[in-house]
Amino acid sequence: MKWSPKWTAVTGLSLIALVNLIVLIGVAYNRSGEPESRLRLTERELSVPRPWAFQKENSGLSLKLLWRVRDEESEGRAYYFGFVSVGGRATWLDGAKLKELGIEPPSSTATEAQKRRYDKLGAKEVFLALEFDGPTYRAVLERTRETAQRSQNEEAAGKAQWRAKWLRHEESESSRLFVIDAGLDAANLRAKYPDRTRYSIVRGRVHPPTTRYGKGEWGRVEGLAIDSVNVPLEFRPVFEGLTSRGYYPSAESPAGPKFEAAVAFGKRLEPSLTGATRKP
Amino acid sequence: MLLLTDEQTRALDRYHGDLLGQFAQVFDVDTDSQAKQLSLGMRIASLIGALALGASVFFLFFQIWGLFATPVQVAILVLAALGTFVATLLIQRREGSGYFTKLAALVAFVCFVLNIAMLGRIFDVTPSDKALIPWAALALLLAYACDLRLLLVAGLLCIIAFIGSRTGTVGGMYWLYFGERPENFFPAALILFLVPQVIPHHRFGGFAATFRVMALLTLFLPMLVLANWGDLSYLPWDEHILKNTYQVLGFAASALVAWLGVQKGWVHVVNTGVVFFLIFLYTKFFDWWWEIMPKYLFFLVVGMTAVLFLMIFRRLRMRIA
Repeated sequence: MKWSPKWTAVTGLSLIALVNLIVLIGVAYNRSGEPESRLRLTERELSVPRPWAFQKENSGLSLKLLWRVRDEESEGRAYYFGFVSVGGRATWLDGAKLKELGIEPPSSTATEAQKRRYDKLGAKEVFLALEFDGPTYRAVLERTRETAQRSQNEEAAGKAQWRAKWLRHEESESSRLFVIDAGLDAANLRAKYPDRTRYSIVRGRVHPPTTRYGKGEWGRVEGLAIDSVNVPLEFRPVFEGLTSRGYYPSAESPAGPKFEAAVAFGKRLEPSLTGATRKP
Repeated sequence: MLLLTDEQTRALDRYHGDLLGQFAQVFDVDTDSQAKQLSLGMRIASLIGALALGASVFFLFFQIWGLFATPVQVAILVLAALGTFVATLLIQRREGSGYFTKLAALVAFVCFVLNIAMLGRIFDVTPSDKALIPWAALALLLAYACDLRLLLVAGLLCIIAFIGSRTGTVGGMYWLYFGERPENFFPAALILFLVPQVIPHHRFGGFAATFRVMALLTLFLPMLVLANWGDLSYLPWDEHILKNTYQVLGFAASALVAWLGVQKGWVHVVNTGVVFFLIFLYTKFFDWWWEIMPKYLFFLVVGMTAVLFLMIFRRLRMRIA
C-alpha cells in the first residue's frame, strides 16, 4: 500500500516551490536598498579561475576574489611569495584579538591535555574587515621598496633581481585587498571602519594558532565564506579574452584585458557584480 | 493418500503455471531462478542508469548555464526540478516494476539539488548546511512514495551530513569542516538506528534494514578512522591512547552489533557487525605482524581466521533459521 499520489504531488511541488521562494527572497533582501559596501576592483583583485578538471566544461564565469593577509614577519625574508587567497598568519590576530573572538589561548602553565584541547579547536566563523587600497597596502608597498633598495646595495645579484621583480609586482600586479581585522559583531566592525567604499565587512573564518612547533603566537585567517563573484551574462563581454593570471611576478605585463568592476556587498554581506567596464 | 491420474496431474500443473504467470504479471515477482537473475541484472542496470543520468543532467547544466541571462537560468532550474518531479510520479503510475521510476526519481532528486546549489552559485549565497534539509525531505518523499531504497539512501546521507554538521557547530567548529572530527557522526548513527524501532516500516520492504545498515556504517567507518588516526578525535588524550581506545571500542561494538542482530533476527545487522569485526581484526593483525612475520605465515593466519569465522557463521545461520 503506497501513500496517496495526490498528497505526494502536492507535498513535493509545494516543497520545491517554497524552498526556491525562500532562497530568492533572501537574495532580494541582500540586494535591496543601499549595499553595505561597494568596492571598485580591478584585474588585480579579481581573477578568472584556472581551468582545471570540470572547469573547462563550465560555461558560467565566476571571478575569484584575490585577497591577502599581511604577515610582517615573512615580508622580511629573502624570497617572499605573499600567498594570495589561501589565508595566512595574521600578526593582528594575537592573543588579545583571539580572546575577543572567544578563543582562549592556553596559559604558560597549561597541561599537555589543555594544550591538545586547544590545538584541536577548529576554524571559527567570524566577520572579517576587507581593506582595499588602504594603509595596509601602502605599508606593504613601502616595505617592499625599502627591501628592494637594500637588496641592490647589500645582497647577492639573484636576491636583488628577485626583490626588484617583486617590487614591480607589488606596484602594478598584486592585489590591494587585505583582510585587516575580525570581530563577532558586524555592526561593531563597521563602526571601526566606516568608509564603505574602501572597507567591506564579510563573513569568513579564522583559525587559532597551534601550540606545536613553537608557533603559538598568531592566529590564521583561513578564508572568506564567499570568495568569488558570479558574472551575469550582460557583463560577460567585458571579460572576454581574460585568462587566469598567476599570483607571482610575471616576466612581462599580465595577460588579458584590463577592467574595473563594481562589487557590492549587500545586507547579508553577500557580493554581487553591479557594474564592469573595460579600461583602455 | 490421494492418487492423481496423469490428466489430473497435467491439469494441476497447468493451473499452478497460470497462477505463477498471473503473479508475475500483476506483482512483478520472480517465479524461478532465471527470472530472479534477470531481475538482479535489471536492478543493477537501473542503478547504473540512474546514477549516469543524474550525472548527465548535472554536467549538462554546467555546460549551458552560462549562455543564459539570470532570469532564464532561474526559470530553467525551477522548471527542471518541478518537471522531473511530476514526470517521476507519472512514470510511477504507469510502471509496476519500479526500474524506470528509480531512474526518473534520481534525476528528479539531482535536478532539485542542482536547483538549490546553482541558485547559490548564481547569486553568491553564503553556503549553509540548511540546504541539506529540503534535499533530504524530497529524497525521503520520493523514497516512500515510490518505494525506492536508492532515494532513501540519498535522503539518509543528507540527514547524516546535516546532523554531523550541527554536532560540529555545537562543538564550535565551522559547519563545513564537520568531517574533520569523525565523532560528529555518532549522534546521527544512533538516531538512524532507532528510527525503525520507533516508526514501523512494515509496508516498505527493506527500509528498516537500510536504516540500520546506514546507521552502522555511520558508526563504524568513523570508528575505523579514529582507530587508525586517533588525533582526529575531540578528546584531548595522547594519540596512542585514542587509537587503542577506538580499536577496543570497534571490536566491542561490532561484536555487540552482531549479537544484537542474531537476537533480533536482523541478518543485515549481523553481516555488517561481522564485516567490521573482521576489518578491525585484520587491521590489528597488520599492525602486529606484517613487519615481523614472513608473508606466507601472515596470510595463512588471515586465511585460518576466515575459516574460523565461516564455521561460526554456519552455526549462526542455523540458529537464525
